[in-house]
Amino acid sequence: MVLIKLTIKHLIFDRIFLVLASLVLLFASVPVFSYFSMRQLQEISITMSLTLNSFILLLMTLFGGTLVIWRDIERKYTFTVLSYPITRTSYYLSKFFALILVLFFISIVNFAVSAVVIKITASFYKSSLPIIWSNIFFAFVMEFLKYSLLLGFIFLFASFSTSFFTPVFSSIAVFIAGNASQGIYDYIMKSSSELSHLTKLAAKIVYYILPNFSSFDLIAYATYALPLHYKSIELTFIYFLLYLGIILSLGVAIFNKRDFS
Amino acid sequence: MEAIKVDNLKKTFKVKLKQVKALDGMTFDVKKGEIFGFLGPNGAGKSTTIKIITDLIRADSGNAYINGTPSTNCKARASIGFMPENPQYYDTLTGLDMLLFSASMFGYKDAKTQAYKLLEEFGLENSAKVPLRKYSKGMIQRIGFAAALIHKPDILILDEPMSGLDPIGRMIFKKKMKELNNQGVTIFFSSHIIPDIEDICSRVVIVKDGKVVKDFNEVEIKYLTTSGFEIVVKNDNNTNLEIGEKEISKGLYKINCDKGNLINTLELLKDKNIEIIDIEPIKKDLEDVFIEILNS
Repeated sequence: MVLIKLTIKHLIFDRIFLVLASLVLLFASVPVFSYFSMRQLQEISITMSLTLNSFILLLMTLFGGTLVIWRDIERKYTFTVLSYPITRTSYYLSKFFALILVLFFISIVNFAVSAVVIKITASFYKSSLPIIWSNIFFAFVMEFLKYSLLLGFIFLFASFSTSFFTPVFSSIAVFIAGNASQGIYDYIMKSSSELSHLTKLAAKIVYYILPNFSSFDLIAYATYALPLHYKSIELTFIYFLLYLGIILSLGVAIFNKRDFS
Repeated sequence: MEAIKVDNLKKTFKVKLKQVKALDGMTFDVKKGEIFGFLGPNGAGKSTTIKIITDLIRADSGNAYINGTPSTNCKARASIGFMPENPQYYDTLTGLDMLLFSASMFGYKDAKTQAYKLLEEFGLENSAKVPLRKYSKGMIQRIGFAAALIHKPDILILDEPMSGLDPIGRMIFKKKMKELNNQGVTIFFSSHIIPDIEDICSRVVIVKDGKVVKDFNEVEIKYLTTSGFEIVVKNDNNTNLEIGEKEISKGLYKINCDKGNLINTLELLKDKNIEIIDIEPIKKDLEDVFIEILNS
């Protein structure tokens, strides 16, 4: 608990964090840009709010995640902290959950600001679609889960890497692959018999190894007030827990074996 | 039971595809109540050994124990205070916050009084609420030492604690170490600054190439660093002693003799009925001893 508090305190006093947090101010531009859409102000404002939230969370996850572990090692803070009577597992998980709390807090702020922005923008022009707040809420929750999973990957890469760049670029690669995996998989599976059985099997293996971030994407449901499939949300949540559990366990195992020389 | 026991530690690092042997059967123990000096040239394996004791590095083979508990068990570290070489702390914390954080990591919730006491002892009371990023190197060393003491540990492990300190800082550190040792705290510290070790250690281990090459107790340190004696005698009759005496004032002579020749010299003085005023050992630096050992 002490370490979680310290990590949060250390993070919120960081200049990079403050710059990233100030991106929340960009929500003020949503009504302006929505105006360019003529008659779809409400839909655009929902999409933009969710996209901006996603962008802020992505930057926060990449930089926060990398800075927390990598900087501790690079600046040799670990020499002090790990010499206290705590396990490396508790250090690693405390750092992770501290960042999760920060992401959660930012998501709440983004959701609250988005709600105001959407309400204001929607009042400019009456849309034929209703605003379903529960859909928007779940879209925000899913975005939070998606970036929590990405944070797990950053921690996994930081558990063995000595450089700043490995966790950042590896995580960006995972993020891109994770967002594209569903589309590529569907394309390969649907494509004709031109592809060999072996290629399809390889695609299947890669598909199951990579995280499937597209299943966390509820932006279309929130924007166009589509009915949500709660069963699918439940399955995504279970998928999130299992996947996160696996990568955190792997990260902890590697971090426990690491030398801090 | 030993406060610290290091048993046949071996560790190899991979540096640019080459295997570098850092520890090659490092074995020693630190008895309770000792001030144990861990001396060796750069690259001898001092910091690697300390990092294995504090579980920052895992040995390839061999074990380290703190109060009988394997160092890989985090509970072993509950009784130690550790200050790493060139310590770095979360720089957004103030000096006071750093001490309170350190105390809370050991389960001490209300350590404010103790924290202020330590800040005063180390001359940091005016910087208590200043963020650590504004501290000088010497101040960081001092807050690091204070943080290692906040939970009143039984064992203090210090890696090059006095490097970069000014003379006043060194004096404060040495005084504090002696004071803590008098209270029963075991102190293990590594250094390559020999006078620091010579001043305060009750035992010194010299390491080279990842293993112990010499282990000296206090008496042996005194013996090795004594090259001879300076004897001051009163010789009112100006008797010619023929042992290289030099007159330092009227009737007072100074005689230098090798340590192996002391008894013969004293017997000669006794035979000639010369009054001995003072006998002082002539000290040579532990540094010279250290170099002799390493060269041999």
